[in-house]
Amino acid sequence: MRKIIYIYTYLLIGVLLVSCEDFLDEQPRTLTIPEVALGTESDIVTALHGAYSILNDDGFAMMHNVIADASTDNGKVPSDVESAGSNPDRIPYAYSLDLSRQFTADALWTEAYQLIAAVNNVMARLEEVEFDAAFEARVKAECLSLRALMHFSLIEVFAQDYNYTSDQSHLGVPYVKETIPGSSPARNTMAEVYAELMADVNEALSLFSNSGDVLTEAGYRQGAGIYFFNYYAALGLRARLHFYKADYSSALNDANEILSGPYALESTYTRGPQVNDGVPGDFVDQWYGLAPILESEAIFQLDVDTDDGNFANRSLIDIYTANNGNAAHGVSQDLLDLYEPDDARLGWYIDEPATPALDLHVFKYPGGLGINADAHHFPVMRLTEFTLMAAECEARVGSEETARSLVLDITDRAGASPIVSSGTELVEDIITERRKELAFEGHRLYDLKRLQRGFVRNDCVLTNGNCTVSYPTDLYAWPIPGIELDSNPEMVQNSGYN
Amino acid sequence: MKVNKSIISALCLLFIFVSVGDLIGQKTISGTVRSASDQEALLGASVAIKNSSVGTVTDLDGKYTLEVPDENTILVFTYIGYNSQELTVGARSQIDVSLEVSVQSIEEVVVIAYGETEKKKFTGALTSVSAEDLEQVPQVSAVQMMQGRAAGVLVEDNSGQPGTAGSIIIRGVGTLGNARDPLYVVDGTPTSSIASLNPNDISSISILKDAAATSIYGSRASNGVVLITTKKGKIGETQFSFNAQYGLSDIENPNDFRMMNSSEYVEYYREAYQAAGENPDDPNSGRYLPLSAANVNTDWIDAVSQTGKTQQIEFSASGGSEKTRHFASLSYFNQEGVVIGTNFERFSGRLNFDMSPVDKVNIYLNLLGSYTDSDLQYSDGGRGGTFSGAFNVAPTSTILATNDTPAGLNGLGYNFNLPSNAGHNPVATSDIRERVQKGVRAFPTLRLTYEPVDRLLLSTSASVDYTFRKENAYQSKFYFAETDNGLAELTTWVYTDANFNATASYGIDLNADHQITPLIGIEVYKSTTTIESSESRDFAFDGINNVAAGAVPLGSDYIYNANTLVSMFSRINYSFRDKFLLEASFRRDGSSRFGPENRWGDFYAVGAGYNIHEEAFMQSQSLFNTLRLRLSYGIQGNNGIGDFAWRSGYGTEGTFIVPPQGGGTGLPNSGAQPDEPGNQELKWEQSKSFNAGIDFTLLNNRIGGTIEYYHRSSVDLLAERLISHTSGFTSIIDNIGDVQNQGIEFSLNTTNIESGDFSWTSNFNITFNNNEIVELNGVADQLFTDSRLVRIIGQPLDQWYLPQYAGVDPADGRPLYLTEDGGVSADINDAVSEVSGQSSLTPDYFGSFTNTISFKGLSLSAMFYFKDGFYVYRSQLSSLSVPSSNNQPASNLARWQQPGDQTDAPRSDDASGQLNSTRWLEDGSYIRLRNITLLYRLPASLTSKLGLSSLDVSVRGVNVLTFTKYNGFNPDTGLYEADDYPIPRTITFGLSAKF
Repeated sequence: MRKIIYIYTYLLIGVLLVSCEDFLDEQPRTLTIPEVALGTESDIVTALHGAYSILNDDGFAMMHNVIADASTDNGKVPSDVESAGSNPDRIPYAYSLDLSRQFTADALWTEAYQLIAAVNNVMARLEEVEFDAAFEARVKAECLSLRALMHFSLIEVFAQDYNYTSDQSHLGVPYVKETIPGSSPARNTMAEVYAELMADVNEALSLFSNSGDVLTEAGYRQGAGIYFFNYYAALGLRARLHFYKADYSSALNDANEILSGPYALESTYTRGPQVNDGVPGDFVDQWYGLAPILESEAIFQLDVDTDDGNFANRSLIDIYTANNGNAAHGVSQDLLDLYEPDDARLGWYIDEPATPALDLHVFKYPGGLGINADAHHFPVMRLTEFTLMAAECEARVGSEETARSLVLDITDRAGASPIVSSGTELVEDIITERRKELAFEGHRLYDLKRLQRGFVRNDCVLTNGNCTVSYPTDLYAWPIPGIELDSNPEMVQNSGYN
Repeated sequence: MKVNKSIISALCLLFIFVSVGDLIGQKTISGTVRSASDQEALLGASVAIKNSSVGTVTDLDGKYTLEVPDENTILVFTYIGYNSQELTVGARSQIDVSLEVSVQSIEEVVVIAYGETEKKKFTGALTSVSAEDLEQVPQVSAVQMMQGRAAGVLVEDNSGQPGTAGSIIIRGVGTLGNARDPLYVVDGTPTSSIASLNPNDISSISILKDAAATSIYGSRASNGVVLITTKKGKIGETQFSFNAQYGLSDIENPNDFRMMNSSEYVEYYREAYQAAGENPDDPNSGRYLPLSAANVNTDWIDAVSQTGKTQQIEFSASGGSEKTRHFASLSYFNQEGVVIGTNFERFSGRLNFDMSPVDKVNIYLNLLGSYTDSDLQYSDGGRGGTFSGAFNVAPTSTILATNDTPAGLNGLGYNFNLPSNAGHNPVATSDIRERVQKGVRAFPTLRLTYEPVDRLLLSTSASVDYTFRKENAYQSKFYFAETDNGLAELTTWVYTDANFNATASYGIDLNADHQITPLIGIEVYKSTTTIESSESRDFAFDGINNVAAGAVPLGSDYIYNANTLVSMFSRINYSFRDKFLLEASFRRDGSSRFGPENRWGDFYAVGAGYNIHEEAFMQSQSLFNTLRLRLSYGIQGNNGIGDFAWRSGYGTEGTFIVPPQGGGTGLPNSGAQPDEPGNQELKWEQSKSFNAGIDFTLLNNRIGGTIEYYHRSSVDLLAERLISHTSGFTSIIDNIGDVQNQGIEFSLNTTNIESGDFSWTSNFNITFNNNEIVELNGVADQLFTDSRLVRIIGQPLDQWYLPQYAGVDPADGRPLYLTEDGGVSADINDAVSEVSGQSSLTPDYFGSFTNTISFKGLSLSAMFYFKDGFYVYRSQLSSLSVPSSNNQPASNLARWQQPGDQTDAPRSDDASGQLNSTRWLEDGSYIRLRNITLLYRLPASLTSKLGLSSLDVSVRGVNVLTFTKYNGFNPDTGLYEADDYPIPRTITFGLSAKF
C-alpha cells in the first residue's frame, strides 16, 4: 500500500519540480529589469531621457539656484511672506542660514545622485552591449556631462571652494562612477573630485567632437537642442570648472571657444507692458513667456512645466512670486541699489501686489502668467555668463580693453552706463556686473566662494548674526543631510554642523 | 428528491445482487434501522456479518433483509455519525435497531489543517467556534461573528460602512508591515478574503493560534490561520429552511457627544471674533456673525445620519443519502447604513455536492457565487466626507440654497455657500456625488478523495477564487465646492487565486498502544491582482457622466501584482494509548516573492500533549474529567510583502518633454528611471512560537476551560533599511526588524444549571498580550510611521506620539503644554512629544463574558465584550480650527472666559489649542453589551400542525449598550477614522423555519 502513496506523491512532486523554477519566476508588468530594459538603442535613449528629466525636479531646477541667491547679499525674505513660505520645501533657512542636518539641500543631494545612478546604469549597459560607435559615443558623452554637472553642483553647495586648502585636501563629495545600492562611499577630497570632474568632461568633449547629434537624426529624440548636452554645453561646464578653480587662463580659453561658437548675444533688453493684468509693472520682454529665454544665446536650458510632467514640486515661480501662497524669497535692496534707475533689468523685479507697496518680487521667470501658471524656462548656461567670464579673465590677465568691450554688450543692451574703469577696479566692476546680470540664475554664492569673500547684508532683518558673513565660514559648505549620515557610516559631516 | 432516492435504491439493490453470489443462506433476518433520538428511519445504513464481506444496506424506509449462516452470527450495524452496534442473531428473524448519535465524534472532532482530528489528540492551540455559537450572533459578516468568541483573537470593526469586513489580529501583531491578517482557509482552500461570504453558510470556524496548529501552512502561517467550514448536506430527508431578518440600526452615542447648536456657535464665535479685534456686527468685516445668524439652526450630524435598515432573506435545502449529500442556499442581504447615501447589498448562492459514486471514492464539489453592490461615502474623511464633513459646517448655514445664496453657489438646490467647510455640503455630498462598488465573486472547489484501504486517505483539491470589482465615482458638475466641472472615476479590480493541493494520510496502529498518522502533501498556489483606473473631468451634461464623457482626461493607472507558491509538507502524529501525544510538521515553501537564492523556506513545528486524566492515578479522583497539558514550538513564516519587492528594475516614469526649436508645445521623449533597488537577499519573515496550554474539564464536565501562555518572537521582519542616497535610492527592503509578542489566554465554559427544561451556561475569556519592538530598521531607535504615530524599540508597536496637553492657563486662557524640563509652556513648539502610559493603540487586555439561559423553547444569550487600555485620536476634532468658522464640539463651551477660570478648553480666540496634542487623545476602553439574542422555538406540537419541523422567532441586538469614558460615537475604530463612519448599533428581528 505504501508503494502506492509513494508513487502517487513522487509523480506529483516530480511533475511539479520540473516546472517549478519557471512557475516561481513571476514577472512584474510595470517594472523591467535593466538587462531587459536597456538592450536596444531605443531603450538606452529612453533611460537617458529619464535621467534628463531628473534635472527638472526640485534639487537642481529649484534648490541649487535658490540657494545661490537667497543665502547671500542678493536674498531677502519678503515682508509679506506667508506661513506657507516658511514650509521647509521652500527652503526658508537658505536666507536665515539656520542650517542643520535636517535643514539643508537634501533634495539636491538625493536627486543629483539619483541622476548620477541613472547615467551610470546607462554607461554600464553601453559597456555590456555592442552598439553603433557614433551612437555609443554620443550617449556616453551626454552621460559623462550630466554626471559631471551633478557632482559639480554638489560640491558647489556641500563643499568649501576649490582653494579652501592649498592642496585641495578638504572634503568634496563622493564621486560615484559605479552605483551599488547599499554601498557606503566616503567623501573624496576636493583634489580627487576635481580630477574626476576634469576626466569626465574631457572625455565627454572628445566624444562630442567625434559624433554629431545622432540621437535626433536617428529619430530617438525630439525637441530643440538647447535642452540636451552638446559639445558647447560640456565646454561651458569645463570653463566653469576652471573658473571656479580660479584657473582664469584655462577658463578664458574655453570661454573664448564658446564665444566663437554658434551663439549670439541678445542685442537689447526692452521693457514692454504686461500682458496679464494680474501683476503691475512691465517685464523684460525677452524673459517673459513660455518660450526659451534668449534663445539665440541659450547653451543649455531647462523647461520646467508642472502641467506636462516636467515636474518640480516647487517651481521658481512658486518660490519667488505670489503664484502659490506667497513669495518665500525676495530681492535685497543691496542688489537693487546696484542698478541704475533706467536699467531695463529692473523689470525683473516687480512690486506685487502694487497696493500696498511692499517689497519687490523676483519676476525673472514670470512664465506665461496664468497660462501654465507654474511653467517657466531656466537658463542653466547662456552666452552672457561666458561673456562675463571671459571679461573677468581678460581683466585679470591684463587685457583690459578686451574686457571692457566684452562687458559693453551686456551693459548696453540693458541701458546701463558702460564700465570704464581699469585695474582691480575693472575686475571688481565686472564682478558686480556679473552679480547684476546673473542675479537669481544660481551663481552668487558660488562666485563669492570662488572669490573667497564674505558678504554684508545691509537690508537685513535677521537676528541670528547672519547679516554679515566673513570668509572663511562654515556656512559656505552646507551640512550633509542627516538621512545620508544615518545611512552611510563612511559619511563625514561638514565642520560646524555636529 | 424522489429521483435521487430511487438512484440510491437502485445502487443499493446492485450491491445486494453483487453480494448474493457469496451467500449460502440458511436464515433470513429482516428489520428496520432507526435513529434512536427521533426514530427516523435511516437510509443506507450498513448491516454486515462480522468478520466477513457479506452485508447489505437499508432502503428508503430503513428496512433490510439479510441471509445469515447461523444463530451465532454477529451482525454489525453501522451508520456515519452514529455509534455502531453489534448483535448476535440468536433465534430472532426480525431485528430492529436504534442507533445512538455518536456524541463524542460530533463534539470532539475539530477541523485542523488538511483534515480533522479529535480534540483530545491535538497538541496545538485552537479555538473552535461551533454552529450553535454562531447562531447566537446576528450574522453581519464572517469576521464580526468571531468577536469575543475566542481568546487571543482581536476582532476590530474599523468602520460602520455596510459591507466592511473588519480585521482580525491573532495573538498580537508580529510584523512591521501591513500583512497582519491571518490566513483564511475556506473548506481547505486558502483565500485572500472572506468579506463576501454569507455568514449563514458557515458551519464552523477553527482559529489556529500556535505553531503546532499552523506551521504546516508554512510561509503564510505566522499571523495565525482561520479555517472556515461551510455547511454541507446531511444524510436524511431533504430539509428546507427559510430565514428572514429585519433590523434597524442607529449611531451609538454613549456619552451624548454633540457639536454646538447655532446659538452656542454664535455666542462662541462672536466672543472669539471680538477678542481678536473684529466686529461681528459689521457686514463688511470678514467675521460677520450677527446674533440673528442663530435663527438658522442646522444639526448637520443629524442631517447626515439616518436609521439604517437591514434585511436578509435566505433559503436553503440540504439532505442526502450515504451516496450523495447536497446543500444549496440562496440569500439576499441588504443593509442601509446609518450615514445617508450608504448601502450594501449582497446576493449569494452556494451549491455543494458530496458524492460517493463508487465505493471508496468521494467527490466534493462546492460552488460559491456572490454579487455585491455598495454605495460608499464619496470621500472617507475630511471636509468632503458625508459624516466627517458634518462636524465642520456651521450650524448657522442651511442645507438647501435660499434666496440669499449666490447663483454660483446654488447647485441643484443645495447650498454651497459654506465657508465653514470650504464649500462642501455634507448632505449634497451624499446626493450629487456618488461612489458605487459592484463586485462578482465565483469560487468553485472540487475535491476528490480515495480511500483504497481503510484509513489511507488520498485527496486532491483544486479551486479558483475569482473576484471582479468595479467602482464608479461621479461628482456632479453642480457640486460647487469643487471646480472640476464634474469628475468621474472608474476603477476595476480583478483578483484570481488558484489553488491545487494533494495529500495522503494513513492511520496506522502499530499495536493497541501505539498509533501513528502520517500525512504528506503538496500545494501549488497562484494569485494575481490587476487594478486599472481612469479619471476625467469637465462634463457637458450632468446626466451623461461616464469617464469617456469627460472633456479633460486626467490620466489612467495600472497596477499588477502576481505571486506563486509551491509547497511540500508533511505531518506525523503519534499517540500512545491516547495518553501521550506527539506531533511534528514540516513545510517547504517556494515563493516568487523572493529572489532565486532565497526562494525556498523551511518551516516546522513540534507539539506534545499529555492527557493526564488517562493515567491510572487519575481514575480514583472524580474532580477532573479531563486534564491535558500541551506544549509546542515551531517556526512559521510571513510572506506578506510586495510581490516584486526583491526585483530591481526600471519603471516607466521620467518622460522628458521639451519644446521644439523656437518654442511651442512640448514634445515627449519617453523616459525611464531606475525604480526599485531590489534586494536579492530578501527572505521570509519568521516567527518562532512557543505555546503551553492546559485544558481541563471538572465536575462531571460542568466546568471546562483552557489556560494558555504563548511567546512569539518574530524576526527577519521586513523593514525599509536606509541606504546611502549616493546610490540614487533612499532605502531598500531588508530583513531587519524584530518584534515579540507574549501573552496569556484564559477561557472558561460552565454549565451553571442544567435541570430539566432549564439550563444556564456561561462562557468567559480574556486575553493579555504584550507586544514589544526589539529591532526596527537597524539604525533608528524610533521611527515615525506618520506624524502622530511612533515605533520605539523596547515598547509596543505603534503608539501615539503627541505634544502633552497640560490644560489651560487660568490667567489668560491659553493652552499649556508640558515641556522637556517638566514645566509648562503656551508655545506648542516648546512642548515635548512623548509616549506615555496613555499612548497605546491596542488594548492591554480584552475578552468577553457570555451567558445563555434556556427554558424549553426559549433561550436568551448575552455577550459582554470588554477592551481596556487603548486610546483613540479624535483627528476630526483637532482639525476644526479656531478661530475660523468651523463648528466646534459642545465641550468647547466650557472655554476659558475670564482670568481665574479653571477649565480644559482654551479661550475661544486661541488657535493653538486645536493643534495636534494629547488634548484630542481619548481613552477608548469600554465594556459593551456586544450581542444579545432572545430566541423562541415554537413547540413541536404547534409547528408540526403548520407542516414545519421547527419555527424560531428571535430578536437580536448588536452593540446595544456601551459603558465607556470615551466621548465620541464608537471607540472601535481604525487609526484616525474615529469620526469618519461610526459603527452602528443594530436590533434585528428574525424568523427561521425548517420543513
